[in-house]
Amino acid sequence: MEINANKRGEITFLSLKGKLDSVTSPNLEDKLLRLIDDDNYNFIIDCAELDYISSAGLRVLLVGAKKVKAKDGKIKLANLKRHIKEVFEIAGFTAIFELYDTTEAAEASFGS
Amino acid sequence: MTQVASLQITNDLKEIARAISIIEECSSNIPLSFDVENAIELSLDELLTNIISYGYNDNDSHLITVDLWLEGEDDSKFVIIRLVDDGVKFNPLEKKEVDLDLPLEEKQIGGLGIHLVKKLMDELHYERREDKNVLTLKKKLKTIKES
Repeated sequence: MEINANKRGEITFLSLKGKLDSVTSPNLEDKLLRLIDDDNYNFIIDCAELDYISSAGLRVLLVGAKKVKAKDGKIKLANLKRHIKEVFEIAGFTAIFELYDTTEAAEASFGS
Repeated sequence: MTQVASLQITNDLKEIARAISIIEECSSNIPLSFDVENAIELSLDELLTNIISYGYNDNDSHLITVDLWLEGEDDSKFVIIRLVDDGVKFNPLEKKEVDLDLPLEEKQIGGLGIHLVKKLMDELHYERREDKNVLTLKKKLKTIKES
């Protein structure tokens, strides 16, 4: 799992590459919680190169979403591959995460 | 019934990747669609993570057996996967259904892995046999017409 982070304005962009499973999810959890501790509350996670997610990965996203919500922030996701989106749907995560087709669309949604 | 692949792993999370490689052995025998492969990978990952994380009360090394075979013919083919472990009795089918409609604040992650497996597989069967958990998963292969 490769995780890249950069900040533009009030939004922190994370891009994920590879697999988010029980072995790699703790890496994302560490990174995400550290960023939240450093007062980053609005995230766009680019999943264009995310090939796989299990419930361990979903758990980390849920933990992050709960934390930023307490600070009026949001985690939004973009570019989910079809089979990843299917996992989100089955898990009921489409009701709690905003999903966008592009990072630009996700960014524009923060502005409104 | 055609036995396609069989392997054993020890109760270590790092071994799950090796168990998942059983899919590659299978697809060299019969081509599987990406969706079927992903469903099997996710199911094996979730179930083995559960067994390894919660299945044992000691610190000993345990073996978990993964068998995979094919059943049926023509437009009614199934991939069957059987997991056998000597951990504590655990029937995932008895787990309470997760409530998917809870708002973010109340949403819980527990049970979500099993929920994913139930939705991704076509059939699940559990039995406790000779102090072992025997879980059988069945996934229908899509015919060319459907895919």
